[in-house]
Amino acid sequence: MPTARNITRWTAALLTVLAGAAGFCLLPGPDLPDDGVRRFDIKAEQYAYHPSRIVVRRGDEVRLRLASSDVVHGLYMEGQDLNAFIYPGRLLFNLGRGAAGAGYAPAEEMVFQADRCGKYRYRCSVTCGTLHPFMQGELIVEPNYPFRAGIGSAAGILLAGFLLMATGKRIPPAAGKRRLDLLRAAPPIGWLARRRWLQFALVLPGLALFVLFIIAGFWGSPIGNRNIVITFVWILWWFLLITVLLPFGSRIWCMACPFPFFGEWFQRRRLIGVRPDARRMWRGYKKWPGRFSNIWVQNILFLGLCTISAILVTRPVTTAAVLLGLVLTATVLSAVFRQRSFCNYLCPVSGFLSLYAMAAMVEVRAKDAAVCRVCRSKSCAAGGPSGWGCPWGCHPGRLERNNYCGMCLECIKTCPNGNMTINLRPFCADTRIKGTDEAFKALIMVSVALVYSVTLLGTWGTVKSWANVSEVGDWQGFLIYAGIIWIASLGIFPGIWFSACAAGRRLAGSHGVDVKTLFRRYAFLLVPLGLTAWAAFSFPLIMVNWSYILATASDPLGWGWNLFGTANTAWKPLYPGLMVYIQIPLLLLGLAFSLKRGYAIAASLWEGRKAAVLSLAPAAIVCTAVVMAFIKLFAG
Amino acid sequence: MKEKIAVICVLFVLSVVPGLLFVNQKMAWPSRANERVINITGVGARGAWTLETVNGLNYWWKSFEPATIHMQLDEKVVLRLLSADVFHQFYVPALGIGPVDVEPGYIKKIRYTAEKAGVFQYYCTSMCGGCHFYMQGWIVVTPAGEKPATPRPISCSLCLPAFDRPSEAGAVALGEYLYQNMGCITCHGIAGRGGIENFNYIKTTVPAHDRTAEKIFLTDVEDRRTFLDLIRQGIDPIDPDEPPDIDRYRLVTARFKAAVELIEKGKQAARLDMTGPDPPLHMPAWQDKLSARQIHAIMGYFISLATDRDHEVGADILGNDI
Ligand code: HEC
Ligand SMILES: [Cu+2]
Repeated sequence: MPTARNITRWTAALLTVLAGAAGFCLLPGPDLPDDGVRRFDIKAEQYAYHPSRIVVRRGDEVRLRLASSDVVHGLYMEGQDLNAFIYPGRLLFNLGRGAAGAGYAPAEEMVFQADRCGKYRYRCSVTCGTLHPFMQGELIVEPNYPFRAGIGSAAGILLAGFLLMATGKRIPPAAGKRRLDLLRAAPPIGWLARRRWLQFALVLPGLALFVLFIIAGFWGSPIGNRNIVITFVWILWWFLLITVLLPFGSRIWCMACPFPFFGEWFQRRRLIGVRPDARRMWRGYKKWPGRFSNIWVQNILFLGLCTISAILVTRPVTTAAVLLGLVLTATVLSAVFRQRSFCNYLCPVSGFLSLYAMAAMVEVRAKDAAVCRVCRSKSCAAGGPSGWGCPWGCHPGRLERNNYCGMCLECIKTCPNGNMTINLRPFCADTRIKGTDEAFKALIMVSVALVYSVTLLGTWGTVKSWANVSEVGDWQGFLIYAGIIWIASLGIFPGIWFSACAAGRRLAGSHGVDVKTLFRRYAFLLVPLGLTAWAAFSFPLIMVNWSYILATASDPLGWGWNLFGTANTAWKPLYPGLMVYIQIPLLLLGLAFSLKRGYAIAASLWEGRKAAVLSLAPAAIVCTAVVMAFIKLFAG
Repeated sequence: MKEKIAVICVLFVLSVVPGLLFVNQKMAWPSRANERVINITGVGARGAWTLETVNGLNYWWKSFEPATIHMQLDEKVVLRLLSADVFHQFYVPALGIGPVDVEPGYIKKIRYTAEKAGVFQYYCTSMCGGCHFYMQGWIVVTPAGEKPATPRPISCSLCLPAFDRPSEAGAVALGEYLYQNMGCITCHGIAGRGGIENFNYIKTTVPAHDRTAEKIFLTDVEDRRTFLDLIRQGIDPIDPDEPPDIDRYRLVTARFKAAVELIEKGKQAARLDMTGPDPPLHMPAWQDKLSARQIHAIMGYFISLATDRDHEVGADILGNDI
């Protein structure tokens, strides 16, 4: 109900955000020379530019002299659509626009007018080695309004959030309770969900691609951006997973995932149908050991993969080997352990899918809890004539979080009462983080997103060469890099989080709730924030590298094919000027949701509004700082 | 029934995907009956144009053999040039092929009919990493019935395990080290003795460096020593605080400066026959790879070569065979 009071509150909140944005825009900028023409010598080197950051004022004429010291590099200037081919050992470079060829001419300088403020990147446009897709520098045209407005808005959102908390209802209604029964609203979806062949039909194309990926990784071109396994897995799949599948489809990917396909097939000895003895089929299979019945192993494996990610995502052979390794592991494990033990406890992808599925806008749930209470068969968990028992080991009738529901829709088929359904729901509707393992997952994901934004989207060549150890061979640097990842995500950030929660508890009056609970429950603040940060991280991947996806679709192995006529798609970023306008709002949205859900969680933990609001404050400040750090990296 | 179809689908996918890849690869490049397709892959990391297949599995460890490309006289071939890492150029000046830009991901095809018999050198003419200057090899065109020549492949000596880095003590030693490690040696010859053929180059062979000392008017042994001392001490010989005791020092510095500038800025090698192809070896600009001090060190090494030669001459006179 929009009461007058509510309208005033929200107006005040909005004004706070705007004031924050405007305030930061008005702050004085850095002192820059005022002579109208700025000259820079930029040297390209695998995989960075020196200087990697140049700052000019709006209206300046910028003159860049370009040189390369090892191999041929390019320099594509965002916002100007100018492109250069830089040849080592030559004084002139080739300057032009668009694809190589016509219109390119030798030049001494790249000259342009910095007429719009903001952050523009200069990126390498010629494949120059393994980390080529990440080679970039940045041009800042001051005053950098998008960045300042972003920082200001983040501060504003923090203040506005607390303003709203302080003035709202005494106890806020539990957040995100609205549901829409999708199967009732759209019967065709229900029909589809009950087809026994649905999952198989989704896995099969994935399996075909998987075979293609393995072959391409091993026997295709060693150049990452020219091999389908890299472009489709790390650019296309990753982007779709983070920005579409996960937020809008929960763990729908797990339904189509080919990793556990063979294992599950051998367990069930069926691809489509159900065995009549389904309830007794687990005899002889072991239960996953209780000590490891959490996502710690996943956390560790995920960090392990992250440590080598710069190598993993740029070398086709490593990606193919890891994919193959995961399938083999899954298959072997499912011969020993029950059901999807691999997915639940080992799969490094599954770990963050389970975490961010909490934010997803769909869920599989029982329609009516009362029906489940009197249900005797419990088919959804144990299996029945029309479907398998939940392969994820859940009891679907009692599901209250998305985390470990793999969206296979088996329970919808199994339930004899037709009581299971798919609901649409608001963003971030599950708010209960239950274990320390899950809380750490949330912390790890945010830390890793920060590290990646520095390594892969940053301009620092040193960090890249640390991460790229298999080529550069700087093991000492690699140890530093690995140390940063592990210590930051398992030590520093959790330490900060713990201190924030302890401080919050102090502020709230030090009784009632223990710090460990706060640490866990408030970790949910990092779910909306983390998911949007990952989305903001992933947009540049696709906006910059989309052409490689098209090219490898036509020439998957880099063997010179042209299946669909797109093999020679020229590299050119797609609307690079829009990038920060996508990233900043995403991050701010994440922050707003963090605060909103955080307040609901706090209110459920503490008696009285004051305690709740105060206990939340330090964690909220940490979240705001994290968002500001991302804005700084992406736009500053 | 459904179950059987599903199993067939799975087996189909597992076998047909690799099968299709294989078939498509065979079909995609139907060589015309009278043409032979030669795949040549540039591997910058190994400094080789190679005939071997380069793929994800072997790129990271294998040392690829530099290609010696054999053709029959009058044979028609298609050279398919591809890159396994970075931008390369393929150039065979003697046969009028190229220079062809070979950008990673784009395959260049060249139809060629071998009309001349002989052994012809091919080059990579775009710097592609540490081994670039060794990225050369041979095209051998043999008349029918004759035994093909087998020129020695050119492999990157920097990548050989035996390549020992001289210690960097002293400017001259540093200069010698850089001379080898930067690849100057591949164009200017062992110990700066020159003699490296440069097709259609006005001076036929790339200049030697054992006469650098004379060229910059450091004819006297003492003068050379004084000059080298300056370089050793890290003093800029062009602009020393106090002019050293060297004959015609102004002239010396002017010449020295010109040489340093040439190394910094590079120079296109002029053609002998103006209508012919560009010489494959031209002097690169080194200003983005070498610091002023490093260039001075290399110059120091060149100057020291004259002294060595004098000694050798002296040894000759004395009748010692070293
Ligand atoms: C790709 C072959 C190549 C490489 C590598 C190369 N040069 Fe040269 N260099 C040449 C050619 C060709 C010339 C002659 C240019 C001309 O015609 O004036 C030349 C000329 C020179 C000259 C002038 C000689 C004279 O007498 O005019 C100097 C000095 C020189 N190079 C030094 C170096 C140094 C030092 C390096 C290594 C850091 C080097 N060069 C590497 C090809 C090369
Ligand atoms: Cu590059």
